[in-house]
Amino acid sequence: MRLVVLSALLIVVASYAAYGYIESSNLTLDELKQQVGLEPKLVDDRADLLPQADEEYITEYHRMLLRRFDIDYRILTDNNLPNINRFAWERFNDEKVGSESEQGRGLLLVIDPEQNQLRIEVSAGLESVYPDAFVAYLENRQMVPFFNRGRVADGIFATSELIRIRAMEAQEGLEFDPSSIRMSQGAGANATAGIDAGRDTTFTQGKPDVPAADTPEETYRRFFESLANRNGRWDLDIFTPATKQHMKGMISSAAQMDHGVKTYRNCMIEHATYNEERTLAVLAHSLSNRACDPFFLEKGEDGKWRLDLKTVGTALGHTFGNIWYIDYRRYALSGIERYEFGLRHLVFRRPKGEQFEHQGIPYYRSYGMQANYVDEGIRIVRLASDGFMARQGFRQGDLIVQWESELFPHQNYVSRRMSSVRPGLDIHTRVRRGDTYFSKTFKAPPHPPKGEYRFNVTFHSASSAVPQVHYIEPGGLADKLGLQPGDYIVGWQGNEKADGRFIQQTYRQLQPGDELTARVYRDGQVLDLSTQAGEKRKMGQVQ
Amino acid sequence: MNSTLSTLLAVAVFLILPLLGGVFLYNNLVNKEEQVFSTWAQVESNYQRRADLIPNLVKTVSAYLEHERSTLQEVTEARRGDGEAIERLIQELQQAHTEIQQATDTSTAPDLADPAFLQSFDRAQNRLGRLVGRLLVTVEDYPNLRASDQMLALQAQLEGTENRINVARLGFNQSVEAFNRSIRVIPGSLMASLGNFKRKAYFKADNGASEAVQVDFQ
Repeated sequence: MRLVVLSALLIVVASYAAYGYIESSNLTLDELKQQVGLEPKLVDDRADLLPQADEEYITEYHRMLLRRFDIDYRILTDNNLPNINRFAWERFNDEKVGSESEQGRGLLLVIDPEQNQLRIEVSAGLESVYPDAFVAYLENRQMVPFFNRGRVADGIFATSELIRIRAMEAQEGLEFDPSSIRMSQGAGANATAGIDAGRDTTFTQGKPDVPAADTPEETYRRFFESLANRNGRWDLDIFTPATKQHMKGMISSAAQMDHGVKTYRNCMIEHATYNEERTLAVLAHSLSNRACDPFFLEKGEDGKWRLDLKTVGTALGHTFGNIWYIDYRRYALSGIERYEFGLRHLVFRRPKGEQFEHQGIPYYRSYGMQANYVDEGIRIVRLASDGFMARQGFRQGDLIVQWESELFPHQNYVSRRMSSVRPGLDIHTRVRRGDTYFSKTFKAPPHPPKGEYRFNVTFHSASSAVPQVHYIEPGGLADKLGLQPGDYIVGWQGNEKADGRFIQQTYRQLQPGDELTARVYRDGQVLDLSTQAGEKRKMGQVQ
Repeated sequence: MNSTLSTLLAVAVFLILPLLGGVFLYNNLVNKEEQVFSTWAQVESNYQRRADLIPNLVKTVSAYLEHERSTLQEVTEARRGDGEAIERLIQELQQAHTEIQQATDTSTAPDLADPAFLQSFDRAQNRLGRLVGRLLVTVEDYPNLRASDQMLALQAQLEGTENRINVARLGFNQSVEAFNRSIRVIPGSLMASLGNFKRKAYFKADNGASEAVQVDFQ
């Protein structure tokens, strides 16, 4: 009896096991790899299209996409794929593209140079953000123009940029679909790769009929009109000769032009500033949208204004979110120095916590004003009553505003001169004692024996006792208050001993509707100014 | 061991365990069949997606032809012939589209065990697909239309839909294979007759049963 039961048990267990074996699927190599924990390569360049440096750069960028937008974007190049659609779909699901991302968002770019095909496969979760039509647009209007010129890495990178921008928009508009399907359902689009096929200007050609205008604003408007018409010519009249040379070698894809038009539709010109001779102009946008670059223009000999895009392109860089900054590495060769007059209303800083090394991110000045202490020279702190300087008539508290030929000298300069000047040489000084100025000339004493002092005086650099206004932004709060460059600030919000730090602190606490008062010293007179504070200008987020 | 334990064990082995096993098998078959139905729904929805794109395609091409006709001063013979051929093509396309719309409206639960049903469905959809393909090919002769962003977007959507259809059909065939296999394997086949599970038909490639689409170009 026991035997029968046990053998029956055995048969039951065996049949379950057999059944289970029949039903189970076989593990693929990739699943095994996944289980072992081998990291999938983001860029698999089997057709050897990309140089190593570019491959690494693109991999870095895609890792950033993964970190910020949770999109697992991989690239595969191979030759002679039998059916690129089938291959891309199978590969997508075999490699589990999208597995690196937490929500299963994946993109796969497959390029087959031999068959002249490319395809981007989109995971089910991303179909709402990257519909087929948009992917085809990305491929045909952004990637392929670069490929035609043989610039494969640049094309891939430029498209990754647009993918990132679309992801950003989708995030803000909450367009991402929280789908739980983690594979591809065949979404995506194809295009003919046309690598090295030669420049195709079907979609970016126009007529060279965009003339420079009489005002900078009009030239600016004509430039964006030409972009909207997809006129990608480099020889338009609205560019300076240097800009034409600069743009000759560049590729303007249709998608880039579309994107430019779309971005700058949301940009407002805040200041149009001219230099003294009125030959240069700067159109600066409001910082509420940090993706809006300042535009530099030059007046030609015919009196028309032309865009200096070369300086814009060389001096400025763009970081995440497309926000512009001044790249100090290229500062000297960019020629941005001559346009600095137009950017004085901004102060350039490196934000905390970011790894920017050479970059200046623009911020508005507090109150729209630049005020600083003025270095007035050196103040005598102590002098020996029987020393050389005392014998010349100098007293403690004297302010030496000129030493020899140097006006407002620094303490280091004066001490160097004091130790090196030839004995017997005439030293000319100009001194301020209290409110009176006088000159004093004396002959340099002989070098003293060891252990003794030559001039026998202690001094240090002195700054003005009060902050002085250097620059006022037109239309800013300080302008509204009535301050002018050159004013000495002798009182701020009732504080008679206001210094720079106090002025900054009060700005942070200022609310719309609060009263702002100041007492200034201008041209021998003391003036009391007051105004009401309005809303503070918003600056776009720096990511 | 004593007799009560051995009887209990006997009951368990000869009664309860096979019963549980039977339930397990039955549920598995049910899951597989539902998977077949759900992948079929995917296939149908993708075909519907393509059908929904047709009116837009027709509208774009017709509007362009109208524009051409109204702005062209001299219309050459060849050009006029082309235009008429396209119009005929559009008419056929619209006809096929309406037919398919009517067909899908009337069907409630498709009989997936009947290979004939799948074949006729496949044929009707293929006809529509071929007409769309011919239209897109003839559009290539009109560079202004081909280059427009609208046409690019439409083409991308149509090609994308075709791709999705292929993927869905693959998925459907895979689920049908899994279901058919589990019906015929030894433990499963015993259950299949109990629950009235029938073998499902595959989506086969259209071999020679296709109607060649005649488009006349003079």
